[in-house]
Amino acid sequence: MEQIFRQWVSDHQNDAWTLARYLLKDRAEAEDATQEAFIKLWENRESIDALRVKAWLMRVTRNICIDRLRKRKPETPLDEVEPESTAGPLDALQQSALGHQLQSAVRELSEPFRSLVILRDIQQMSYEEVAGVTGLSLPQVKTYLHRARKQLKEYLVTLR
Amino acid sequence: MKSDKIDLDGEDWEQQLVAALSEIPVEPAPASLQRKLRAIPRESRAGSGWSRPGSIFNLFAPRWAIAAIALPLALGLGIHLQSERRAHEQQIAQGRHDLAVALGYLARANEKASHRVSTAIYGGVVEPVAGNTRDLIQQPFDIVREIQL
Repeated sequence: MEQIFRQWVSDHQNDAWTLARYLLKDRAEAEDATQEAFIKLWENRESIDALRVKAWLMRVTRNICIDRLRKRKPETPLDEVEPESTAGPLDALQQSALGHQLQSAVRELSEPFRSLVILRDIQQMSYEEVAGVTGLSLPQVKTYLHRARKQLKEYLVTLR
Repeated sequence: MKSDKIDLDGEDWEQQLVAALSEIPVEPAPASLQRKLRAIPRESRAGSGWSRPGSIFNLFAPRWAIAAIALPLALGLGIHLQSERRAHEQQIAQGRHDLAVALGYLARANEKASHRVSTAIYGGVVEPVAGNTRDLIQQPFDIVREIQL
């Protein structure tokens, strides 16, 4: 079982980490949230369907992040929490200006739009999986995704 | 990224946007986090005393060893505290009784002492004052001496 768990860690750690980073905008907190999600995965390893591990993990990671956002002091605006560069270590080398603009734009989205864009458009999960992770219906996922993309477009227009 | 621009006014802006988003790389988890995640099974066993369910070695798992030591200690401590509490209660009851007896003696002594004092004062003060007053009243007024003055 330990070996299987290690494989799950290897397969999904980057996805869970990326989701936590986008949602929490704080590196240390994202690390804690990701670790918490994987501890829950380990504790529930016997009851989880191996084919749905990613969806399960992403749902748990998202819930942990949302709980943490709710527990934050109300006087601390979320936009002030990001002390570091919004880009990851690879970004500076690999990404274009458009990539950076898009990342910033995604961080500006509110929930559940942000999660939808990350899960569907960045992490390429299926609509069904996204619905499972967010607890939304399939039509809701599609409608909200369209709205999220419209908001991204409006953000990009302001940068022109 | 294949294209560095999205034609936001074009009809296919959404497809272009989706394509651009799909090219954003997933950020690799930091090495410190990777180490922590790999250590979860090991730390779980060490922290919670986890072992294979149904195994005979469960008897020797840390949690059972701790329980085997802690249970008699807790029982002994409980019994000791209980007997100590009983002894305290007995001492307090004895103390209350002794105090009540002592207060009774004090009250009686106080009563006798006050009776003696009042009797002594009455004889020593009331009698001289009354006799002196009677003598003064019985003497006639010395009017001539007052006129001379």
